[in-house]
Amino acid sequence: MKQLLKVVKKGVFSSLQDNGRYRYRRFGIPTAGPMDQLSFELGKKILGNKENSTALEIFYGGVSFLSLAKHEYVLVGADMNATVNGKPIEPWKTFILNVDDLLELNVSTEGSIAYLMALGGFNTNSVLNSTSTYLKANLGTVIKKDTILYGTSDQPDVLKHRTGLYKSFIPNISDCVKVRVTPSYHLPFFIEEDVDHFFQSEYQLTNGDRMGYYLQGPLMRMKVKKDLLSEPTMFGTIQVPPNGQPIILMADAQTVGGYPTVGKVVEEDLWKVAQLRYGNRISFEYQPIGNTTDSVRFEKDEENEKSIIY
Amino acid sequence: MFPSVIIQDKKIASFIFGQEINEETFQHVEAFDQFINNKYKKHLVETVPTYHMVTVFFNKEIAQDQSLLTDIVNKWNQLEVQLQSSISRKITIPVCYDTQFAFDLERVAEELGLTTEQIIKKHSEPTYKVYLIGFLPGFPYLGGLNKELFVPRLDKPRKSVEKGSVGIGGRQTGIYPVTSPGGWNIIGKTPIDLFDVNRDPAFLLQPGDQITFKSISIDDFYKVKESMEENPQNILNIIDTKI
Repeated sequence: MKQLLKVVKKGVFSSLQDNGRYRYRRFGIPTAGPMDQLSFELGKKILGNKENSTALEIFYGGVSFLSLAKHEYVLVGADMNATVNGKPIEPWKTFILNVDDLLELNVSTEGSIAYLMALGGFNTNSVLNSTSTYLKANLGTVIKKDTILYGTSDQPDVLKHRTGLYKSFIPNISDCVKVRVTPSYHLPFFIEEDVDHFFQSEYQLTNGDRMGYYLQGPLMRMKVKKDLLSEPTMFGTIQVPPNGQPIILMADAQTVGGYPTVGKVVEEDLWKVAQLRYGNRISFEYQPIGNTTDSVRFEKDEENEKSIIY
Repeated sequence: MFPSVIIQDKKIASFIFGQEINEETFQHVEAFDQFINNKYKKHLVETVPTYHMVTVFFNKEIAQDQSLLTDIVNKWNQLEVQLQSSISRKITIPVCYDTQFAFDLERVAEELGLTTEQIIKKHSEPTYKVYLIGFLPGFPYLGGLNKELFVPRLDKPRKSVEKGSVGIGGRQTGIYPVTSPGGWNIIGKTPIDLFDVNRDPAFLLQPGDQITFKSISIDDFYKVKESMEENPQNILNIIDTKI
């Protein structure tokens, strides 16, 4: 293990995440893992990191690090106007920090989440087969002032050539998104008019964290008050609590829930939701399953990979 | 029984076996959960069984080409499912009902018109079924609470309920696996951890388990607790498990 970075300013909330913790949902453990899976995947590809390497997920910036060793990194996700020793650096492009360099992430103007990724990934304890942070069970790491981030010693410090993502492939983070929703079998329990409004109107993000994003907009009311049995919920499930204002469950989604659901945001669009900031707008497209097309994910597509990274 | 199949996303489907909490529906859930995990392991990330449905997270797309789903349902329907024989573990959990831990026991006794001894007896008599685990890591939703112990939850939830606390509220009873806010009436505490990442298995309970509570003295509570702290693995000697 090699010391890479020391946290100087901890910012709002930053946690270590790998792909997520799977096979424990039946025991009540959420998967956790990255909120913006697209940026996370692309970042790993830029560095050539292993499939399940660990990155630092950073909400809203305001965080800075002192470099303790020469090492190569990339910043992906929301642009947080990062600087090294005061000089701006570009996201989606690798950069090298030398000993005593100061890396600062300022505030983002668009999007809410960035990933700081080290060549070879950060090295941290794996619990229940994952390094992902889930606070309720005291799993993983949330950074504080003076937290040290480690790298793996069997990895080179730097790449032979700087690499990055071609501009046209950088995800277009927006403050007004439309996402596709697979309808839930609870949908008929809601007043029909309200369902129509849901799919025709805009909602605003008012609050949220890794567990759920709270929306404000047209009310979703039940036809009759119905006691539902608790059933599995997941990243993307849109729940409606008794106040009629939807909540989109996010990466730390509870594994089961008893509120009626509108549907599920399709996997490919979850990153768009994740990157919303308070006050940003979201609308929903009714998308019965079987019709989703996949245009943004680059799963195990070697050909594609070669053409997006220079 | 023919389940309704609901596709939730390209790689996620749910199999629904009924609309209410009952033993028969849950037997189908358990049997199907075992069936799909045995026969389709290579296609699965994981499954989550609950009262009336099993949600399956596949490692490949099942929505566009639904042949895998069709195959699963067909194979399931061909099975002569021996519901009665579904294997279920029996676990005895020690609980100390001393008022030192049982903050609400006396008040609840008064509300229900019972003595504290009667409550302890009625709570530790039945065999409870673990229907599902959720809400908190390792938190069991138990079925089988004696009707005479149905009591409203606290008007105002406590900010912090210590891990191991045993509560009743509404029609339910359960154990807090980690310290957390909670609105149940606390009537006892178990010295054992339902969830400990330093132990194998990390989770004591799983859906389908049958559990009973055994009343223990405060001395035994601390003895068990010490033994667990010495070596988390000792739990295997403490809980009385039969398969």
